[in-house]
Formats: sequence, structure tokens, C-alpha cells
Amino acid sequence: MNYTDCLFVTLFALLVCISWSLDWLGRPGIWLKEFVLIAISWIIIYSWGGFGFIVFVAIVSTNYLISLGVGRDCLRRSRALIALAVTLDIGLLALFKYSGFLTDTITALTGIPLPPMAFGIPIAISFYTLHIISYLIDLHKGSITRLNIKNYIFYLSFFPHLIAGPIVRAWQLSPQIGKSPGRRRKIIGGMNYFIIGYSLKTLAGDNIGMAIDPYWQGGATLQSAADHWAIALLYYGQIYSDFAGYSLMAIGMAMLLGYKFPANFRSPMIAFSLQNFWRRWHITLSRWLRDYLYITLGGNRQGVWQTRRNLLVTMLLGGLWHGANWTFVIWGGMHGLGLVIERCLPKPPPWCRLWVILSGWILVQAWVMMAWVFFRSPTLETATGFIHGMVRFGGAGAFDLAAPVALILPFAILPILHNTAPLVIRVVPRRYLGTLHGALAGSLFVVDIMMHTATQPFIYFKF
Amino acid sequence: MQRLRLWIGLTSTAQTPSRRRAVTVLSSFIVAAGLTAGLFHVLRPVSPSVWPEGSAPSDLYLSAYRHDHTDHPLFLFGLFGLKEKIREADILLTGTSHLEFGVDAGQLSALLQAALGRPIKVLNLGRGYGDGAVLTRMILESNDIHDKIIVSDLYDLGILSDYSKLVATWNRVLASWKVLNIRSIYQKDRLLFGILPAISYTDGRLRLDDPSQSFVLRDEQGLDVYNFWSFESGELFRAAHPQADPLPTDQLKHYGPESTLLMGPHWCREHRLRCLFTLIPFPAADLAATAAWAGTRGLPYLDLSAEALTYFDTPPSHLDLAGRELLTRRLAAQLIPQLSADAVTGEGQHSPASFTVSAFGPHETATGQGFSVQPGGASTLWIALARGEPATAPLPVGIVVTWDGRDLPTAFDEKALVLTTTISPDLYATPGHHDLAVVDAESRTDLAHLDFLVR
Repeated sequence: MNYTDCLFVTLFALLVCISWSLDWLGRPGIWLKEFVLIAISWIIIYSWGGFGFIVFVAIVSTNYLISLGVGRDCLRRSRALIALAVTLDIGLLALFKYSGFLTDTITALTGIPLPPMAFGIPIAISFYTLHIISYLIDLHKGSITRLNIKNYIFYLSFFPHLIAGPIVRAWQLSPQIGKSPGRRRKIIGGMNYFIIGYSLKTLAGDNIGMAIDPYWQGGATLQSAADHWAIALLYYGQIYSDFAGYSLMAIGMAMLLGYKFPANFRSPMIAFSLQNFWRRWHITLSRWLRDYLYITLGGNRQGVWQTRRNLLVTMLLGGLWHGANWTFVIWGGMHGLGLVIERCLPKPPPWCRLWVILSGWILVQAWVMMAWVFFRSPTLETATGFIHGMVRFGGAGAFDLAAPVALILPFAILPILHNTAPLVIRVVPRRYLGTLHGALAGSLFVVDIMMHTATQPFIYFKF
Repeated sequence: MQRLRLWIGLTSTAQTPSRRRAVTVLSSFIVAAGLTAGLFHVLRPVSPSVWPEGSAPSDLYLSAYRHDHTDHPLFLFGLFGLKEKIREADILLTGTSHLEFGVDAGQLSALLQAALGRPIKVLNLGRGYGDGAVLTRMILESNDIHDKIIVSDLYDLGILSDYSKLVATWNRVLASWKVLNIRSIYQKDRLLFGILPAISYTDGRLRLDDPSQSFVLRDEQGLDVYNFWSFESGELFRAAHPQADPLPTDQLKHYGPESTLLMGPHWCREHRLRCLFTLIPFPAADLAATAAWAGTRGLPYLDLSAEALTYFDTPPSHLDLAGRELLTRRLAAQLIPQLSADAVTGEGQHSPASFTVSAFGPHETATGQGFSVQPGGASTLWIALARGEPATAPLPVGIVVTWDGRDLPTAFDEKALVLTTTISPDLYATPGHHDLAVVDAESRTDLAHLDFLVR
């Protein structure tokens, strides 16, 4: 079940109407609305596999029972329960997601054949595990009040953010549960977010993916360095369109249903440093890692070398969270290494700041693109071969992909436009912004209706 | 813009700034959507054919649209009442799209009913993508089908298609969703037909097409194809088409992959199914060779002639409406004697035996290890019989022992009531359970089944 399915969009429109009607009835209506949303969310989880549904229910109920003992009233007990819950949750995540990776690695290193352990990854486990841990820790710190069982289940199951984020913290969503949406429901804004997200995903993400997948799967070969960079850039556009598109759809859906989600992307393609990049890319994940991993490890309070260690460990684990493969670990490691190097660089004097920003932008985006190669490649060999192709200048023809890239350009330009939109908005007079916004959404809405692509699952669904 | 907004009536001078902004956004949304739609309406390709409206009966379902098929999830999960329909049927026709288009279950049902004087329900479970016995067996097992007659087309790619492998990973909820989603896309495109084009990026090209693409409609009664319609060619199935010349005989190919044996006698007996096999004729098929192949595998075969059959595609492989009607009559002619014999003996597969197997040996062997090895290298197996009721009932004229449907050299000592058979080393070269059947050589009726294990 994809959120870009024609049937889903149709039924969601109906759900929004039902949601408005129930909100109009006041508290009982809101209460009923949230039960309906929980039921729909559970049906969505079940549709991805009965096993995943059972795992979800088991983990949620176990953690809720544990959370009943967590709080400021008895810190020692609270800490012990959190340790138990985190161990259990991370352990289960490791079992389902990393057991095969672990056994393959041990076999590769030692030559000892271990039995294959592939349980299959229950849908969304990577995301709701983070939600659960953040709830427990915030409850322990006293940042949030305890949720009742219905609100807890709603917080974890709410389908717009369930499968692929944004990673919404309990303190962000829980104040909204059970309350009238009021000003939170923004119909125009919600529709705009949904249409733009849908367009990014279906017009750009799916079409770019269809065009360049053969190059990653070995079905087509690349010749020159320019070809390799072109594919890497197109993949950057694809993953941005896919993930940011999904996030925008999720934010839009939540808005239409009367809930507010945090932003997840803020034009990462214009980032001029890696630190800046991680304040713009998958913002909710980078904040989660900062608050619950980096700071727990000590953050930047224990000295220079410890700070660098903490940064690197955080990014390595962040990479590993994305997938059970060394390529993801290297992807995270590259970002961690880049962040560490940035911290070592001196602050530039004011007179050359513009040149630093410009050169920083080029270097950072190039580094990010090279890191994406590891993120996308199915194996280390594919990734290293691709990187070799990127840095090896020359090859048959300067840019053999010029023609295919030109064909995909109408779609590939969309993520770039979306990233540069904030720069455009700054120069447009404020009184015309609404018109521009509406006109863009209206045009995209019609194009979305006409667009036919083979539906590709969201990339982050598999994490 | 201000005048337009006033005209639409969306603007009030007393509105708050946020409401004014919402009105501005909404009105520009509507205007831009209208202008974009108008532009693409002008740019859309002119449809060469019209969407078939009105003439189609109401009790049809969408079997395939564009590259998506609904039959696979519908049949595999028995969705939307199909499980009950399959269970109520007496005869199930199974196979690929050759059978899907090639036989009219409704017509067959009427012909059999008229000949046999009793109601017989026939259902057409043919489906696209070339999935044959592998998928048929999955469908029959997942719907828990027993006590039926299965007529299976031997045209089969021998493997499960990628689409079927994907469908097999779904659950009922997801399968239902996928079917309904395909239908919703179809309905959306029907609404856009003649108004807006479809944009797609295919084979490296950006295309502006008519939104309607190829689709197959089947009726809900017998699941027979009503029509196959494509944007370029209009009606394919119901219209007559020029026929291609026949292929030279030496280019013909026999059909019948080993995967057909997944529906072999042992499995059919376990599920109380009577499995009959045929080949829906098409010009590239060597019917005689296929019939002979079925004979060597001990598969009950219904021989269908290809004479005067007509097809709608190039190269010809799928029968059109006229060809289907002709072939259905031929299939009925083949089935009527089979079903008439059932009426005499009671049930086709369960004719009373005049003896039982009292013992046999050996029951098993290790892989590659011979048993009671003869000078030629073959192994020998014996089966002792005991007379059933009545004790004076005559024994079958000829008895043969088969190994997984393959006839073995068999000697019958009528006095001692012992069968001996020789088994060549290649038969026990691979491990697994093997079906030993004692078969009436004349009627090819299974009389007893035994299990032999190669460890």
C-alpha cells in the first residue's frame, strides 16, 4: 500500500471529510476520530504483513507496560526500566534487521559458516523504535506527561509518520492528541504540502529512479567520470524527491487531519557545510541522534577528541540505522569524518566569507554525492568501482549520458527547483506569494492526475 | 485577478489577512489548474477509437489494465466471493492466457448440461503472464479445493512469473487493496478519456498518450473473457482479424514442462482432484508431440484439433471469439464421454478395485543404491496383491506399475498375485518421495498408490 496509490488518495480525501465532520462534534467526535485513525493505521501496518503487525503490537504493549514505571518519582527504578526497555527494543531491532548482516560478516571474516538468519524486517520497526525510546527518555526527564494507552497507541501508530517519518517526538504530538485542531488544521496548507510532495515523489523520484536504476544494477555501463557524476547527481535528486516528497505528503496529511508535524527537510542542496547539511536533511533524525545519542555519549562537553569520537560514533550508528550493510556504515562514516574535519578547520575571516561559502558548497555537495554512492550501491564492490569511475578522469566520450540525462531533465530539475525555492521566495514580493503558491499547486495537481508511472515504493519504507 | 476573485465571490473586504491569503491561494489554484488542464486538453493526441460504452453487460470485472492484472490476486486469495464460486464449481479450467481466451466456461457448462442432463458448473481460471501448473497448484491449495475435475492447459512457461512471486508475498488485505487500486486507476482514466492525456516516461521518452490503454474485461459468472480492448487497435477479442500463415512443421514445438508433474497423480489423489490435461491449440504447437509427451508421463490427455481456429494476435497464440466458440465445442465433445463414464462407475477416480495391495518391498533406498539388482543393472521391486470384494471379481486385463506417472516394465504373476517391476538406476538417483501407482493399463485408471522413499 503506497500513499501515492490512486485509491489511497481518493479514500484519504474521504477520510479528511469524515475527520472534519467528527471534529465539529467536539470532544466525543475527536475521540472517535482518533480511534478511526488508529484502526486505519493498524490496517495499513497489517497490509504490509501480519508478522510485522504482531511484532508492532507486542513491542508497543510491552513498552507501554514498562513506561508505567518510568518517571521522576523514582529515578533509580526509572533508569533501570529504561535500560531494560532500550535493551529489549534495540535487541529486537538488531535481531530482525541485523542478524543476517552479523552472521554474514562473521562468516566473511572468520570463514566459519553460520546458519542464515533472515527473519525479515517488520515494517516501520526502525522508526517506531526511535519513537518509543524518545518517549521513555522524555518521560524519565519529565519533559512530557504520561500518555494514556489510547494516546500512546495513537502517537506510535498514526499512519502519516508511521512508516517513514518524520520522527515526531512525543512532546510535539501528545499536546495535540484529543484536542480540537483549531488553527492547526490548515486546509490550503495541507493540500499544498500534499500536492507538492506527491509531485516530487511521482514526477521526479519515480521517473529518475526508472531512468537510472539500470546503472546501479549493472544493466548499463558508465564510461566517463562525467557520466558517473551525472548518475550520482540524479540519484541525489531521486532520493531527495522520494524522501522529501514523502515527508511533505506526511506533513500535509497530518495538517488536513488537524495535526502539526515538524519539518524534515529545508533545502539540503544549498548547504555549504556538512553541519549545515544535517540541519537541512532528515532534520528529525539528526535531532533525535543529537538528543539521545550524541549528548548521551557526552556531546561536546568532554574535550576535543571525545567530541570528535562522539560525532563519528553517532554518524556511524546513524548510517547503520539505515540498513544492514557495510555500505551504509561507510556512508555514515563519511559524514562523520566530514563533520570532524569541519570542526578542525579555523573560522574564516569576514572578507573571504563569500568565497568560503561558495567553495564550501561545492565541496560539501560533492562529498554528499560521493557518500550517496555508498548509500545506493548494493555492495561495497559496486560502490568502490563507482567511486573509482568518478575520480578517474577521461574515458570513452566526455559525457556519454548527455542525451539520456536531457530526457530526464524535466523531472530532474524539480528537486533542484524545490531546493532553491526559498531563495526565489526571498525576491518575490510578499503580496504575490499566495498567488505563486496556489498557481504552482494548481498546475502540479493537474499534471499529477495525468502522470502515469509504475509505482515505486518509497525508498525509506525499507528502513 | 482582483476582479476575477470578486466575480467568483470569494473576496470580501471585511476578511482577515489569513482568510484573504487563503482565498488568494485557492483562487489562483483553481485558475492555474484550469489553464493547465486547458493546455493539455489542446495538446492531447486525438483518440483513434472510442471507449466501448453501453454495449458491455453490467456483470463484468476488470481482469487487466495496462500492465496490471487483477486475476492473480483474485484467484490466489479467493477475493470478493471468488473462493466460494471456485468451491461451487464442478469443473475448473486452469492455465495461462491461452486458456483464459481459448475456452468459454459458460458455453461449456451449457453443452455438458445438455448432453448429460444434470447441471454442471464450469469456471475459467486462466490468467496471464504464462504461469501454469506452479500457480494453478498454489491457487487450488490456497482455496482448499477438493473433489473437482481440473482441466489444465499444458502451455506453461514452467516457472512462476515475477508478478506471481510478488503476489504470493501479499496477504488478503494487501491483495484486495491492489485489486481495488487497479480498478480505481481504470475509473480515473475513463473519466479523463477525451479530456486530458496521460503523461508517462517510458523507454527514455516522454509520452503524451490517450489515458485509456489496453484492458481485459471478464464476466463474473464463468470468468470468461468478454473483451480485450486496446487504444491503438480498439476491440481485439470480439473482432475478426486477418490470420497468419501456418508455420512449417519442423518449426513446431511440443509443450509440457516437467512442472506439470506438480499436478501429478499423487498430488491429485491427495487433494481428491481428477486432473485432465490438454493443449489449447495454437499454430506454433506440435499437438501430436504434446499428446505423446502426456502419454509418456501418464497424464490423462484431451486431444483438441486446431482446424479452422482463428486468433486475434500476431504471432497467433490467443483465440478470438469465433475460435473460442469452436474450441469450446471440441472440448465439450472430449469431456462428455469422460463425464458419462463417471456416471456409470460412480466417480472417475474412485472406481471400485477388485484387489488391494497387501505388501510391497522395498519401501525405500538410499540415493543411488540399488535393490535386488538384476544383471542389467536395474533394481527390482515386488508388490503383493490380495483379492478384494467380491473375491470372484475379475482382475484387470493388464496391470502396469508407474513411477511418478512413468510406466515401468511390469510382470504379473496371476497365480501368486505378485507384481514385479524393474526400476532403472536414474529413477532413484535423486532423493525424495516418489509415487508408485498400480494402474489398469487399458483404462489408465489408478488402482492403488504407494510411496517409495529415496533417502
